[in-house]
Parts: sequence; structure tokens; C-alpha cells
Amino acid sequence: MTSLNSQFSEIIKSNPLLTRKQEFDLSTKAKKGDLKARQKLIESNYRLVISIAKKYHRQNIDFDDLLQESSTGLLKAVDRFDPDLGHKFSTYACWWIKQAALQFINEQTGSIKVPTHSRMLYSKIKNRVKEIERQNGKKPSISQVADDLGESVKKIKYTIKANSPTVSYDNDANKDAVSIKDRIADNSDFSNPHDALEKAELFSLIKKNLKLLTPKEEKIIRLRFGIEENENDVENFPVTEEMKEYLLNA
Amino acid sequence: MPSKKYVTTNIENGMDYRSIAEIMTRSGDKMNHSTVRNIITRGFCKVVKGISEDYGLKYSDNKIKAIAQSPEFQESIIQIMKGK
Repeated sequence: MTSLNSQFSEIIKSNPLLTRKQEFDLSTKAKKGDLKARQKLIESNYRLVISIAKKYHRQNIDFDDLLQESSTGLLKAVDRFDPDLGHKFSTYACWWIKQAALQFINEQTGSIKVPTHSRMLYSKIKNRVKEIERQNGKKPSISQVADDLGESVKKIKYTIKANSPTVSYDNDANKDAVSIKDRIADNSDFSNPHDALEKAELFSLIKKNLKLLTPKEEKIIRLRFGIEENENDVENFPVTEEMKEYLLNA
Repeated sequence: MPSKKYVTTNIENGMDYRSIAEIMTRSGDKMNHSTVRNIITRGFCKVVKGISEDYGLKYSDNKIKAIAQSPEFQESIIQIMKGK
């Protein structure tokens, strides 16, 4: 299967960079509903998507997925771009592409989803702490960081707490912890397929041999053990002791 | 395995042999309580014999009866008949 990256490369090869005039014409037509112009504008700007996605690519993120998500930013930009304002399309589109890429990364990072704005603030806090530490040689207090960033102490504390990395109970480094999966017994058929197969085989054998019973034998066994064949069969399977008495005396 | 004349099983909605005998008699199969007991044992013996033959085992009649009368075996059969 061809990767999305190579598909993009093919499209890029066949769509050279647009001039300002071409860009203006295409976006004006696209705004009026010309789908071909919209398509051309999108395809001509795929190299911008690749360039931004490469910058944001991390080890734990699939590049094709990141490219795809970043492309949604390009689509948004194409739909919202106003050529009459006189800006270059790429200047406008790069923010939407970055936003889409960051949002995707945010969703993929960590086991708990934290809102993008909170993650962004956390990133600002970290940068600010590093900066102050470099300047003063010691770590700043939370209130100092809060003042510098123009946020409340409560919000800074909350943001740090929400973005702290989580450690899995199943992590190798966390040897003293007892995992939930070790506490709950797995009784499903998947835990021991061999046993499950044997049980299923025995079950079908018993079912097959139950057919050896004559109708009279089956009825008597059912009566003896209260196994109803039909829940409305009150005559043979009385619900209460009183009803049983009544039926026997009738 | 201790041989028991009567099997004691935890029967929720089941009936005693005499009540079953009366029901069967009323529906045309005249019988008494011991016949009911014998029919139940015979039925379970059939099932035990069938299963053992399927597994290629040849048990004596006494062994088959002992298995058929064991509460564990009867309980399993009841569960299957109940569709659990």
C-alpha cells in the first residue's frame, strides 16, 4: 500500500507552486463555489502541509496520520480564506494547519485527554520556568510564573497538575504496584482456549446424548428438577406449593 | 464414590417422587414413586453410557450407575438442560 506521504509527493510533483495572481484567481473562484479551483488550491498547497507536519512529527506519532490531520487544517483554510484582504494564502493557511496538527498531537499524547489550551499553557509555563531558572539560577515560585504569564496561581497549579505525566501501574519501573489486571481473574474463554474447547466439546457430547432420553424420561427428569420446557406449563411446573397442592387434589 | 440410594440435589422448583408419580398417573402413565426414581436413574445412565462411549471408554454397569447417581453429574446435566 502506498503511504500517504508518497501520495502527497505525487500530487506535489504535478502541482507546481502558484503565483500570487493564480492564487488570487483560484481562491476567488473557490469562494464562489468552483470545486475544481478549490481542488487545485488544495493540491498546490500540500507541500506546506508536509513541511509543517515534519516540524511537529514526534516518535510516537504516525506520520501519515499527522499528515492527514494537518490536511484538514488546509481544507479549513481554503474554505475560510478571503483573497480580497490581500494576504498570501500560505500565511493564512499555516495557522490552520498548525492548529490541526497540534490538536491531533494533543489527542494522541498521554492516556488522559487534556484540552489543547491547557496543554499550550503548560508548555508556556515550562518555557517560562526554564527561562527564569537560566536568568536567576534558581527555580521560580508558582506565583512568580503566574504573574509573568498573567494567569492566576490557581490556574497555574491546576494546569501543572492536569498535564503531569501519568505512570501506568503496569510500567516495569513501578514494581511495587499491583496492577488491576492482576487483581481481576480472567475467566473468559480467551484466557484458556484449550479448556474452553474441551468444555465446548463435552457440552456438545452431553447435549447429543440427552437426545437418548425417551419423552417420558425427559418429562420425569424435568419435573424432578424443576426444568421448565415451557414457562406457561403450570400444570406440570406449578409455581407455588399451594398451586402444587391444588393440582394434586384436583 | 459412596453409593446412595437417593440423590440429594439442591432442587429449586423440583418435585418429590410421589408428586411426580401422581402427575404421571393422571396423564395416563400409571406409576409409583419408586418407578419414578428408577426412570430418572435409567435416564441418567443412558446419558453416562452415551458420553463414555463417545470418549471410547467402557464402564461397567455399576460404574455407570454410580456416575449417573452422583449429585455432581446430575447437577451438570440439569444446568445444560436449563440451557445455562
